Amino acid sequence: MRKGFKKWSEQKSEDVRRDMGLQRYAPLHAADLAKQLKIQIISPQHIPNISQTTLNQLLFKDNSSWSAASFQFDGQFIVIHNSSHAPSRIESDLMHEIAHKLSDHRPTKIHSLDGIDIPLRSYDDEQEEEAKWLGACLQIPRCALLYCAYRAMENEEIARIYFASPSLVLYRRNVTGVDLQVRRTKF
Amino acid sequence: MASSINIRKLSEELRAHRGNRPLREIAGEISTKIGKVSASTLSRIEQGKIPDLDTFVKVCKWLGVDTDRFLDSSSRLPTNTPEVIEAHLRADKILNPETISALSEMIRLAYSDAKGRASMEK
Repeated sequence: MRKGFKKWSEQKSEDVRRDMGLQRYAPLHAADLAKQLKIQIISPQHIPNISQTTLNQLLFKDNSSWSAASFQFDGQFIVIHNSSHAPSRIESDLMHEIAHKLSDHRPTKIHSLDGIDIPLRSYDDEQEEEAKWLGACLQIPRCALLYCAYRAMENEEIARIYFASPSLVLYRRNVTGVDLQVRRTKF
Repeated sequence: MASSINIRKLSEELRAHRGNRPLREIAGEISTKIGKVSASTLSRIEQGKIPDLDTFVKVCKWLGVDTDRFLDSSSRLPTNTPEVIEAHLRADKILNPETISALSEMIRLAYSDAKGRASMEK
């Protein structure tokens, strides 16, 4: 990650909430943040003229192999997400895509898959690492975790409030060191 | 299986076409005639780094060759569509053919819908 990116990300998660008139530790749906940033989120079943065969393949038969597809058109960033996934995974996937946009990442690596006739670009490893970090910050700000840790809240409860998975809460607790900070404060 | 530009071939042909002329001169020529490309980008291509799509197309134009020359058959840019859609996809590296076909249709239709709505709004 770029130097200072982690600190920037924590601040960004508070800034976006402030810009939306929310408290800095407020829960935030990815769809609401996307709307604020004028990013269009689409579910496959809402794409006009899409065949039932395609929907069955992507949302039932092989729904675990893909998370999202995005492209730009006329200056608008559009994300198609896998609507069959669990709500917490959808939140995480969308925050990850939003994180790429907020970080001003440009996918430049060209690759293609046999059989797909659309040029695909991918982000590099550093960009993916940054999006993972920022996406998690956007979903659960550090200040929110600190608040929850002081109140000895369980991961499951925090996950429910922030539309996240318990594993994401655990990850954020580990990487932010909030529990250690709370322990030091109490003693 | 993912495939990509034959960077070795592109690198060799760029170097051969450039000859003894400095990269900065070549970059200036491409930028003037076709579109902006930096000398450092050309250097990276010659070192075997795959360029982004825009740069790739510009370099091919300067070389006077079709883009197909450096792509294997599964990577060929579509020539029967009026424009090229470029997408980012978060998915497993290996996908079954039915899923690939479905993803392709999904992206194309979403793009067409976005284009249609943009036309109506203008």
